[in-house]
Amino acid sequence: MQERKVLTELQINDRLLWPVLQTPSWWWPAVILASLVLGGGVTAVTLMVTLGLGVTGLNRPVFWGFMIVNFVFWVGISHAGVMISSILRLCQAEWRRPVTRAAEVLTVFSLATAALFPLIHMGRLWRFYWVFPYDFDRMLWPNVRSPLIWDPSAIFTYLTGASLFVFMALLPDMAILRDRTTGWKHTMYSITSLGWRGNPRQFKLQFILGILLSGLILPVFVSVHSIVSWDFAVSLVPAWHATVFAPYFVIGAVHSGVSGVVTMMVVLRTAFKWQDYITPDHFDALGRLLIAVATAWLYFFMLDVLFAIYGGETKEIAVMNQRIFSWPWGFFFFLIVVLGYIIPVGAWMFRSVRRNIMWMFFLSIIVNMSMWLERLWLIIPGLQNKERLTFNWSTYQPGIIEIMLVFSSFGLVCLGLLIFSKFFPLIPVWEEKEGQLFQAEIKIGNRTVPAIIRE
Amino acid sequence: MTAHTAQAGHAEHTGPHHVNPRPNLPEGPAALTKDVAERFAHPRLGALLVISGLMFLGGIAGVVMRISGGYEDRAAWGFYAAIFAWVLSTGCSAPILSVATRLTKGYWRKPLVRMTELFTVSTILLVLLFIPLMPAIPSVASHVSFWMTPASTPLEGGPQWALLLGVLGLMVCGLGLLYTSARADKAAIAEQSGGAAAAGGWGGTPNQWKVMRQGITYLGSFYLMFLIFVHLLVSIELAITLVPGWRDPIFPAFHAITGLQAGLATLIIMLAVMKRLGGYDQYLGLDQFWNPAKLLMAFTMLWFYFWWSAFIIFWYGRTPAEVGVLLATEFGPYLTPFVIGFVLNFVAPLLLLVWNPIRVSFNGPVVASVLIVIGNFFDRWRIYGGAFGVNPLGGHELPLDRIPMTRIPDLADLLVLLGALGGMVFFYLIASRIIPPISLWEVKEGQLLTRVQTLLRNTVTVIGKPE
Repeated sequence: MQERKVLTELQINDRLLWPVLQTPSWWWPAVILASLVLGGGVTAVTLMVTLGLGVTGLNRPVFWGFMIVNFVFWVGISHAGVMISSILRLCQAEWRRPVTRAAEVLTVFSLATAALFPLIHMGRLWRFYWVFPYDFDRMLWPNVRSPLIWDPSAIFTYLTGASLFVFMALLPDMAILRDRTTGWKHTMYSITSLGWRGNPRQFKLQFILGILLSGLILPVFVSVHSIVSWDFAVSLVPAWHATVFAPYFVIGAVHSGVSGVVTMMVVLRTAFKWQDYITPDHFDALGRLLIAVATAWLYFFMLDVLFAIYGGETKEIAVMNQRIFSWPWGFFFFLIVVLGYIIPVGAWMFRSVRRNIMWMFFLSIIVNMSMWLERLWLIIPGLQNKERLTFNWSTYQPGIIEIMLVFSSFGLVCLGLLIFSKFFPLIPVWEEKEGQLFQAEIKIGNRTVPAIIRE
Repeated sequence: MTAHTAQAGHAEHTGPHHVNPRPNLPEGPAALTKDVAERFAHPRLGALLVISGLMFLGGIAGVVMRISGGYEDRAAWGFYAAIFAWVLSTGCSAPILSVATRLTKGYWRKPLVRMTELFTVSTILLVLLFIPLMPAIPSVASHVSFWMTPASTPLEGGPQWALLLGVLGLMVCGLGLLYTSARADKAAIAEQSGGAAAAGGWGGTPNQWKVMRQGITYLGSFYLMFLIFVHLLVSIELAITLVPGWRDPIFPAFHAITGLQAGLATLIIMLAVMKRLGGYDQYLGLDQFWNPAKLLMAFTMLWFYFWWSAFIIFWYGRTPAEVGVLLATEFGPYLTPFVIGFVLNFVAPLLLLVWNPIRVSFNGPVVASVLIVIGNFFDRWRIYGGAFGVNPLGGHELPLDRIPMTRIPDLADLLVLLGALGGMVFFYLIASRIIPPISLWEVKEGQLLTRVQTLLRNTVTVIGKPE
């Protein structure tokens, strides 16, 4: 596991910085494609703002639809960065090095994308400022007891923390780029690298900052998805009002986030030809991690389902009946369990699958399909329950606008990552060099064993 | 191959020295086995063995007194159920550190895994404690049950037998794990004393090592699964189903997480005992206290997170059923145990462990652990005391005028509590006289795989990772 190819500093610089210093042939077509997909979303938002929320499938009582599902999904994906980066950094896991940057950047872009959806969902986006207590003269105060107020606070705190995390880890790499670029790029890197010279004091301060940020961001990471879950759970909507929602949402987010990192690593490895850096060992380690995470997710999922039935309350039973036995929710339930647990975990039990790049790619995709469906399955049936007044009975059919928004969110995240990859290396150069220094081997009898150095 | 050649050059450059990373430990397999064999059954632990044995006997007397009081007054069994859950959460949850660190290949685990696994003998005590409790668990017929049987359908004994199977399964996996991991060491000690016959057929062949490693992985994984399953059943059948309206899906997870916190704390206390009284001072270094202390701090924060996640939903929901549950188990007659549990499980340990000089020390984690083990008992008492005090009504709400009174423990309860504590220590010490408390083969493996060398101007430890 700890065995890595020995590379010189020059080789590392050349290999990891080439997408920044040159432009890969596929880069522009990929940017155009992502922009087109995103353009669809911009068109959809423009139409919705012009014509009103009536163009969506939202109705009474299903006030929350695809946009909120997408919001929860992208917040979930954003949990990858902290999970991978902070925890593995605190545990000093050596295999983290090529994975951290991509995971952190995925966090930033997916979180920013997630934050857009409640705004779009408001219909009148320009009134977002109402959640801030900005004007004392108005005497209008947001209700601080509402989770809809906690949400923006948590998300922006997390976004700030995650951005700082990325920036802190980028400093040495930006200094390397500063010394290899000219013109406006040189000026930009000179400003952003904050005078980094790579002396021992700077590295020591950066190390301390990394540990501090890792420790501080972990509670934020847990609180963000917990607060998102409380958007639902503190209400009295049947099947939403469950105590397990907070850890259940967090572990589901980690499941989908780590799977998202696997998807991204396969793409990076293939697109940038980084086979020497992202190896089957990394997929093996992530696969083992995912077995534990997926099992914990299934445990909370089953607790949620069992306790909804256990109480024997009519409304809870009705919603669960709809979720499990009615079309299409019953089919979604089946897909969630099969695609989210049975197929992937069954496959990850085999080392050969964990080390097979294409298998890992396929499995990470189906996990995230399952996780998106899970959010849909959790949110919509609870609102569709039949209240006493029959004029409130309705079902939900998503409109084309909402479907376009879902696809465009993928376009936005991909576009963000593509642009980032043009300015910064997606594998930390300095961490790779440090990793080379920290590898060793020891001889036991006539065998040579790979080893790592611990200070 | 190229990588190996180049790395070898790198290693030579940095200058590996075959220095013993633990200079106090005897070097070489034979010397290590001899050293542990000599410390086996340290005389200073003898006094502790006698005291804990007497406490255990007192506990048996307490159980007899409790049974002679009959089962009509179910509330009288609340304290006993709390003791049962406490043993599950402390002694029986401690071996999880061994399972987890083996799966994650934590290098600091090697000197302490056996001391962790010796706690699996607490499962015997758990089974012994459960048998008298079985008749106190109400049948499914009288209340809303996890088994989803309509109240009119009698399913006498259903929960009891499921629970018994659970605790028996936990015991079998635990003892199997202990036996499997200790085979090689038993053989080494037997060989040292000239009794090769006692090695139980262990010859140290590659196949035996392979089977042993796989056995440890599988039995450890099953132990973990059984432990979570038993926490699930205990928290549901002995608490949730007894209180009308208590629909709390996070509670089994809260029970398990807080159990793991208390289990870790129990282990740290025992490590301190073995270090100070057992003569294993040089085997248990700062790493063996500091690393579990970091985990303990994480679990302490999880204690609050899981409790808060349930509390905020009930607080916001404010349905009559939720108010009833909060009153029965937290803010009503059991407010004092709840507050003590809250302070000892969360506030005090967090304030201690968050401070580096305390966390990175021998005594700091031990003090925090003692607080947590005591706090865990108070937490279990408020849960099970409150739940057993309620008469199952078969409905969906606990009427506020039926909130039970605080049940003050009587002599029988206190004797059982002392007996449970003594029993855990007694069983542990007996086991540690049969099986070496140090995992010899793993410490030897650690010595082989660890080197000290200089890197630039620093002294660093090099850890071999063969897998």
